[in-house]
Amino acid sequence: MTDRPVDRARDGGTQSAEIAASKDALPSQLTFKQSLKVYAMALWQDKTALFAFVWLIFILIATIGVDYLAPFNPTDQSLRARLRPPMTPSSADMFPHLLGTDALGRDLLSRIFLAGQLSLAVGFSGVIVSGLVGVCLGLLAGYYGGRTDAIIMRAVDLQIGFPFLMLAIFILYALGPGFWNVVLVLAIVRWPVYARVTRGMTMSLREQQFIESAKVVGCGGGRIIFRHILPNLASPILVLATLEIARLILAESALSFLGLGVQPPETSWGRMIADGRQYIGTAWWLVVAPGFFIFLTALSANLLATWARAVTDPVHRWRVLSGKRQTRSASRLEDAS
Amino acid sequence: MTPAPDPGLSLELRSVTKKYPSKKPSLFSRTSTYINAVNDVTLSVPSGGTLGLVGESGSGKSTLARLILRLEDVTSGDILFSGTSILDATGPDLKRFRQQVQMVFQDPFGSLNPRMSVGELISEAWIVHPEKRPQNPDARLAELMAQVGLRPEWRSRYPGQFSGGQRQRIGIARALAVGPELLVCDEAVSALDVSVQAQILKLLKDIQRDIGITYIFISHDLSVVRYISDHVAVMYLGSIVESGPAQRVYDNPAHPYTQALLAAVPTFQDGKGWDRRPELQGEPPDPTDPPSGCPFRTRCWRAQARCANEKPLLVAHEEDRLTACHFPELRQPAA
Amino acid sequence: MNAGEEVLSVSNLTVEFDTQEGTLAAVSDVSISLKRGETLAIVGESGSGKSVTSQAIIGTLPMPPGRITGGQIHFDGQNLLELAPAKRRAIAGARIAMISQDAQSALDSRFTVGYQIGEMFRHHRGWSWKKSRAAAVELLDKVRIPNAARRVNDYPHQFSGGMQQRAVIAAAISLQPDLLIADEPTTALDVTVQAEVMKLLDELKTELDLSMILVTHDLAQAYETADRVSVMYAGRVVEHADRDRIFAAPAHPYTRGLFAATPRMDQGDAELVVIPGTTPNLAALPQGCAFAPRCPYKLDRCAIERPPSAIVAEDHSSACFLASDVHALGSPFPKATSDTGRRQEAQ
Repeated sequence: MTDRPVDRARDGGTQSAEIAASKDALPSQLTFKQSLKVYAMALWQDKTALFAFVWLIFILIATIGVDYLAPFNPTDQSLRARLRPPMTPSSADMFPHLLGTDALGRDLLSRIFLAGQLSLAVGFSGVIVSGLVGVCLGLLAGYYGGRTDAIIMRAVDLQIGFPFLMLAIFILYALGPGFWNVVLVLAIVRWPVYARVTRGMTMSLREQQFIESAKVVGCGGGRIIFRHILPNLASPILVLATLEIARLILAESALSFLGLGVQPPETSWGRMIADGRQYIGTAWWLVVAPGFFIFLTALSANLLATWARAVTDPVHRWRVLSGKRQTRSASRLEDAS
Repeated sequence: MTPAPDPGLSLELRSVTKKYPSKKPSLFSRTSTYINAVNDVTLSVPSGGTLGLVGESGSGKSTLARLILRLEDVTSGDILFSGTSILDATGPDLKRFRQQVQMVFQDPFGSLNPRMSVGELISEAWIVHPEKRPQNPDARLAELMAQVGLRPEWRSRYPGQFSGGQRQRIGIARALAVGPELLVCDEAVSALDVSVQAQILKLLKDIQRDIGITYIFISHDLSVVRYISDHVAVMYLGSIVESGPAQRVYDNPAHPYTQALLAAVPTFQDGKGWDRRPELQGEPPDPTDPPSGCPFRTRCWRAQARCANEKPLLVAHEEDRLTACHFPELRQPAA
Repeated sequence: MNAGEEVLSVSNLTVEFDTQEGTLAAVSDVSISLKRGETLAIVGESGSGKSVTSQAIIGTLPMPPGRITGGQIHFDGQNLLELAPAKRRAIAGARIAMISQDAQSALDSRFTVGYQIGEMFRHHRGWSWKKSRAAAVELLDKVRIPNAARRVNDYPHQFSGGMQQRAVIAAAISLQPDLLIADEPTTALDVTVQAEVMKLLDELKTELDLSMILVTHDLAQAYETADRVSVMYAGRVVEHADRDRIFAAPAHPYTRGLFAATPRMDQGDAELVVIPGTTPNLAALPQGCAFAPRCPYKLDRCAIERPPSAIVAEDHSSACFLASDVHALGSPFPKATSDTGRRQEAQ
């Protein structure tokens, strides 16, 4: 050995060598497409969540595209075809009345799709309004603490202690029923949920070093709240919002059932149940069918939220994805010992 | 008496004290007790060098860093940066201060916002301080990344895709983006593996050589502080017990605590290290109930009656060297 | 057991973990042995497999996701991996003891320290409440906790960090184990407390005739405490030697690099020689030598072939093609620049 390779590089690493070496250690980058694939796979493996997802997509498409997709015109009345039970063949069409007809002879399935528009719209609008208010106030309370926090949180306590129905009756009596007033009631009732959750998470994030780092760089309160804290709360808030949609659909149904919600000729699922109540002895499907849609939609939103909570947590996501492999390795271990 | 600011000094602390309430005054007890996290600290940091601040947990070294960066307010005393007090700075003054003093944090995982890309993290300072925005931000970003040993094409990646050492590099680039004059490194390499720690230490030294920045380097690791610092200050229970040029303090520690601390570090010398170590008595005292007089007297093997009655002041016993001890061990530096 | 006898011998141990990025070998083909009364230091950085190795020995490996896929662990002539779980636990509890980095989580905050130490006697030896309590006081005294008879009734939170670690040590030595595994026992402690705990461990070792495995990332601590040293990198032992040999002339580029990259007080501000790059991702190890991408002496074959362990001197082996060349370079340390050494000798 004449040329001892050890003599070659005594001085350790130059900067470029360092970069070259560290490249190998980098985990591969997950593109948007790849992470989409991960979520799709996780959804495929959890059949319950998959069902919930498919149902919600179906409801969304059916209600939005009611003009094109509904088997009948939901407003077409036919006195001869009143209160027909489900699966009755229709006189005018090849397609049967799958869920029967109502007291005015309108196709119930088509009516449900139409009513779903309003139920979902109330759900989404209510979530957006209450979420915006609640998240903003929660961020302020959690970040600034002290007096701001005390005032906002007392308002939350007050709100949570106040009976929902009494508030709804007061407001809807004063302002009159109607879509936006219902949304307003729901927003007033539900914002404290977001405020509480957001405040808690903000308080723990505020202690993180990257918030201090932002302060040292010179970021003001607004930038820290919206650029540094809010993005890190996005996924838990989205999960909460999904849950809240289910709640608000149920709440709207209850209000409409009591006659405080939307007024005819507009209709929602709750309103349909209210209208069908008087025929419950003779035409049960008028109550059961919209009730079933409410139940399934709320359940699906709940299931999907639970799934999303598990999947957006990276540690948990891995468990969701590799559920099978773990049990296998456990049994192999028992063989070994 | 207020001495005039010295132009050669980057930062000056004058009798800085920070008290935390240890119990909130409640409905039943109006009086509240306090912890002196930082107790009457006077310290000056010369421009262009590195001051190492050493101490164990509870010594107040990290609180001092937070006070210097105005992440917390001092209870009393004054902090001067380039001759002007920073304590009352608000609005544009505070903004200017934020451009001049930056920080590198301890936790490579918690100190970078996981939702911001490397490019966004480094260039964020230019959004907050538009006047500091370079003419060609892209080129400057690439330059900064190269300076800290990151590939410029990684700018769109997120912190989660980097190792601990690389994240510290991102943190350093982020701090350098506004061209600060003083960089406070709070345990900046403590969470890193030995081989990576050396890279970051060397990087910090290289940067100082290139741009002449001043460092305050806070660490519990005495070997690391020795490597990077020109001057050191040793803290114990909120007070500075000894300070001076690094080599002289390490070679001839005068305060018994410094002696114990230095002797406690494992070395590659023959024989078992603990045979050389002075025996420290008891446990570190409770910061809510510090001992009277000298804070170290309860563990000191040289303590005498005077130590319990009278708190030793930080006094110079040779040029540049200060010790807060009634019985310092002074010896001539080896010729 | 007699002095010089082998207490523990681990051969070709392989431990795999199921992770998000796939199955990875946290420990590959690791062989170590330990003689009675000896201290072995396992030195390595994060991800080197040093802690996983010690967990596999004592049987606290989280399974799943971990699993032992190969090798043997012989303790006192028995292969621990072939024993029935109950029998293995009995050995692990009484004859092998472990202290870990985090003393706080090793103690249960709901019970007094004395109760938790006494529990060892009540559970393993069936002693009475009174007798085990007296033994707990004696143990706390042994680990130099002042006022042991009074402190035995304290809860863990009333102890300082150093005292908590002492209490954990007391519980660990309570049943007079043959082997003590100390996994980064002082990492969470202050420097001065660190020195006290290491001194205590060393004294107890002689007093109780213990064998010890010290898992650490601190080379100087290994130097002060150990008789022999194994250096791990990316799940493998890359170098093994007795303490004096490895510090005088390391034979693996990684060990050498680690020495040169460690700041030392007695070296003043002498330049550090940096190992480039980062510790490797175990899920994506290179085909050949795991250290090759960072190695200053790398040959072409290092990227393809994994170097086998080569013997460079008596009881000194290194897994490097250039082991004897690196060994011949001698001490990794430059000359001392300050007189710290002299001063401390004079003291």
